[in-house]
Amino acid sequence: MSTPPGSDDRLELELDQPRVSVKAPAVRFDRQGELTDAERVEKAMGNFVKDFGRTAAIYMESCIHCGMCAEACHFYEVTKDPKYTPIWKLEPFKQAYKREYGPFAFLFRALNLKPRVTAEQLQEWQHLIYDSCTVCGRCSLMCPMGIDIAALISQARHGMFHAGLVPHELWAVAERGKREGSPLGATPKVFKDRLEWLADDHEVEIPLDKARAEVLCTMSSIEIMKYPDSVVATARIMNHLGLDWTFRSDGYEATNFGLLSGNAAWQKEMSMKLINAAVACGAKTLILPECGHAYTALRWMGANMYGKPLPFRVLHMSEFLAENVQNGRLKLRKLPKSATFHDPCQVSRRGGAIEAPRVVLEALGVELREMFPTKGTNWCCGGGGGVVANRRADELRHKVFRIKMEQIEQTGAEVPVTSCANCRQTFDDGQAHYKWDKEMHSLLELVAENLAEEAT
Amino acid sequence: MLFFEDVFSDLRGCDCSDVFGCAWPTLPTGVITFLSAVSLAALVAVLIHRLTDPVKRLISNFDDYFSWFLTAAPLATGMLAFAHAGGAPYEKLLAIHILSAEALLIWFPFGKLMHAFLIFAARGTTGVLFERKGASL
Repeated sequence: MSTPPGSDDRLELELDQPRVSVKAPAVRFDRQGELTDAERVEKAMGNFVKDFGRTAAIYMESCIHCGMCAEACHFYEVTKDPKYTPIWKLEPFKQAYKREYGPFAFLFRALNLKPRVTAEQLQEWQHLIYDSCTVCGRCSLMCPMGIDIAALISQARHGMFHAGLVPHELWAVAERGKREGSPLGATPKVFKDRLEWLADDHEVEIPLDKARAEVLCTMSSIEIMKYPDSVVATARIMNHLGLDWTFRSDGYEATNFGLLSGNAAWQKEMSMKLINAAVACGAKTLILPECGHAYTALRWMGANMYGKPLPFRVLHMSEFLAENVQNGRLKLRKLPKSATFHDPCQVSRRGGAIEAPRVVLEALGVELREMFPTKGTNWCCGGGGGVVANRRADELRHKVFRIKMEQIEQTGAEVPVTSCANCRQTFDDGQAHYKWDKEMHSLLELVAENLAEEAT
Repeated sequence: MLFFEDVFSDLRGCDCSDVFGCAWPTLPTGVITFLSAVSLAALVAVLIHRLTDPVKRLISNFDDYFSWFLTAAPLATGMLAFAHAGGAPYEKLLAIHILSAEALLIWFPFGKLMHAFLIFAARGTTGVLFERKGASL
């Protein structure tokens, strides 16, 4: 049971379903590698504290066990099971911190005040850390002590990844990413082929590998493989604006599985591909696709990977659209419908690009009906942080999705819109599961469909 | 509030004017007694909440209860001393009271009570990060 899935059929992708994942495995491999239990515990804890700065230490010391984070969490909200309390998901790591790394670790060890964390315990917590946390960070905002619980969960995942204690599907996708450069098989060759096919099919010009360009566009693998209309929409809008732009086959994949899986070396490698591509073509602006964590990875962590300030601007697609609405270049036809906006956690709550999509929706002339709560405190779709790909989490995720359906139903809006492909596939899957009549729309595609006049 | 109440009530007895030339301001005994009673009642209420709420009960550990105990102890012993409980000698009751307050101060930096200071560090850290990104509620 502890053999890692190799590069064989267990990793086969399933791209024609409402959500993208690897094919349902006959036997799950939720433990990877041949480590002993003791080694797993050591790796998990060692890597948890590896990037453990004073920030994390302050967080660890600050929790007063008030339990307020529970009600911020959609997994607790629908189940009322105390084990889904966000801070409880970190219990083994808190235990290890006190025992091994805190200022009084020697006392805790000498008197055995906190027992040693066991591999079984970590195995049990895998469910809490991966299946029932989307790293949406709603709990971080609700915490009266201001503990960024979501950031700590990410760190705990770093440890779990190195200990080989990752859910089957996430491991498989990360493994493929490492092997092929894209977690969903969008290799440079596949990307090129797709662009040619899309350009022909939709009669749109899609520049690739231009030596110089003002604007470099990037895509997420979910869009390349599952929502190719987003690629076409990007091209249409760029052409409409008459921009000097390009895709680059040496830097197109904005998805950063290194960040997701907690491997800092991979994260840097992925980010550097985009940065180098932008530098190579002298781009002044790099546009990130409708993807949540890609925004965190490059917009907020890119310069740290590069080691100095980036020589170009990084914008999320919604920010780019808003900017061009505001400077008057992007002219849109009016859409006489009511719409509601689903805030992608990594872009809105944790990224700060909250108003941009609303500026674009206003320009589209829709009647915007906000959900309650909305913006920074909007509920997560339940599919972030790799949860949507994890089959073991399906039942729980579908339960959680009910919150989202109720929120949207309450607005009575006709068109739900978001600007994250991962949220979108979570909605597609939820829609199929509940046979719901509401379909999630992409802000980018909505704009492309309503350009005031075709430039070409 | 507890902190100030402790400081103000415990130091009432000592004659600071001998050393500093001016005396520590004191609150009337009635006010202290009333505040102690209110504080104790509040502490009992939060303890009951911690013990009955499934979330709080699950995530609580020794530190939470011990910090509670040390916070409640000076209030309880102070009121007992004031009331000359059980006819015990006042000096003995006062000694217990002072000891409990010292225990609280000794434990303070090592346990959950530190949140009174850590809140600025923790919220500040997260606040700076989110402010830079422009994130808001």
